[in-house]
Amino acid sequence: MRSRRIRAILAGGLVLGVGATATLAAWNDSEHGAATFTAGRFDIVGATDGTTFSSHATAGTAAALNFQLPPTAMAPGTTTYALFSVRTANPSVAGVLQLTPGTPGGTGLATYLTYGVRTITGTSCTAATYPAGTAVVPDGSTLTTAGTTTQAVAANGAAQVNYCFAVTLPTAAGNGAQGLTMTQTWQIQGTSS
Amino acid sequence: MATKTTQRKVLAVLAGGLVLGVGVAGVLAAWNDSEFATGTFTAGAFDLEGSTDGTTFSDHNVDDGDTAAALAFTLPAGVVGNMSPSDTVYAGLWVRLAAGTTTGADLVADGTTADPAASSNTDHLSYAVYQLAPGATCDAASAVGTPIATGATLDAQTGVTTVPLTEGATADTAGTAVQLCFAVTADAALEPGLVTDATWKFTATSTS
Repeated sequence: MRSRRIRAILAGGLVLGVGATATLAAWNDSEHGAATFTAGRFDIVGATDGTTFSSHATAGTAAALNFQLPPTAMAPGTTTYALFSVRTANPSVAGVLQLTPGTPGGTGLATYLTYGVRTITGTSCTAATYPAGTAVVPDGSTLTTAGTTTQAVAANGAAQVNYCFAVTLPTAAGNGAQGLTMTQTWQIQGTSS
Repeated sequence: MATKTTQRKVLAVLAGGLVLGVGVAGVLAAWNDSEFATGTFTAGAFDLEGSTDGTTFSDHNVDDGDTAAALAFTLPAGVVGNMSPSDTVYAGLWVRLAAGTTTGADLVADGTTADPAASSNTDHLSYAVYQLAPGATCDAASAVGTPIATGATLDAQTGVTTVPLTEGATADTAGTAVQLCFAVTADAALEPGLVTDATWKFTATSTS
């Protein structure tokens, strides 16, 4: 009889213990936050007409500049102008641009020619618009002169930088310059910022 | 054993430092992309040539070793080669820009050289040069108006006026020729029996 009571109490205690455990439990719910991280891109493209942009990422695929006076028969005093517009692709982060010339080719006209580069607001690169531009390469520089300033270029192609090239055969070029040729490649390197 | 533990600690610290260094280098890197543009430039050509008959042209650049064109003083008949005081003789010289020349030019008389006055009639011969159409005859009737150069003596030159020359329409054609009509007049003190040579120089300068 006594032993039964003890067992009953123990059993009750066990039940109490179970009850206490149940009281400690609580309802649960969760919220999860997720994020995907993707590296951006940096890509610049160029256009010789100010509107049709494509990539010319190597010297071998350089864009042929469209000089206003066809520079096929330059005489002393001739200056010819050409546009080259550069912007970022979409998508692309922003960056800065630096102009550097390559090694001149041809038969020696490079020693006579001088050039200057300015950034202009529109896409009309002529003797009329050039003077109002902002200097990138000072006028009268030799063809191996790099840009003395860098140009900021906006992200996602939002704004283009219009380079106006002015190449001159100076009036001082003597008879020795006649019939000479030269080819020049310019690199505009963009660096992400 | 203690030494080995210390070494490991040092290595661990160095490794940590290396990882930091890599992190810093990564921050300095930036992405690059380039655009390339190219242009080809060719200088033109320039050549002035002359003719004494209006049809056969060649170079007579004494400065480059050529010989001067000998002017054909043929008018008026009978006077040339036998001038007497107050006679005037006429001869034409045609000049043009040779085929292949890529720019127009301004032509000017650029001085004369003549035999010394002491041993010639240089000081007794005056001249005037007129611009005529290519087909005109250079004689007393046509050599009128404003000369493009004159000289009171053969070794003097005044009143030089520019004559424009045009290049040919294509690379294979020469520019339009211009005739220069020379009128040489003997003064009253012309000395008999003396032979006098004079050379006129004309220089064309490209204009564009």
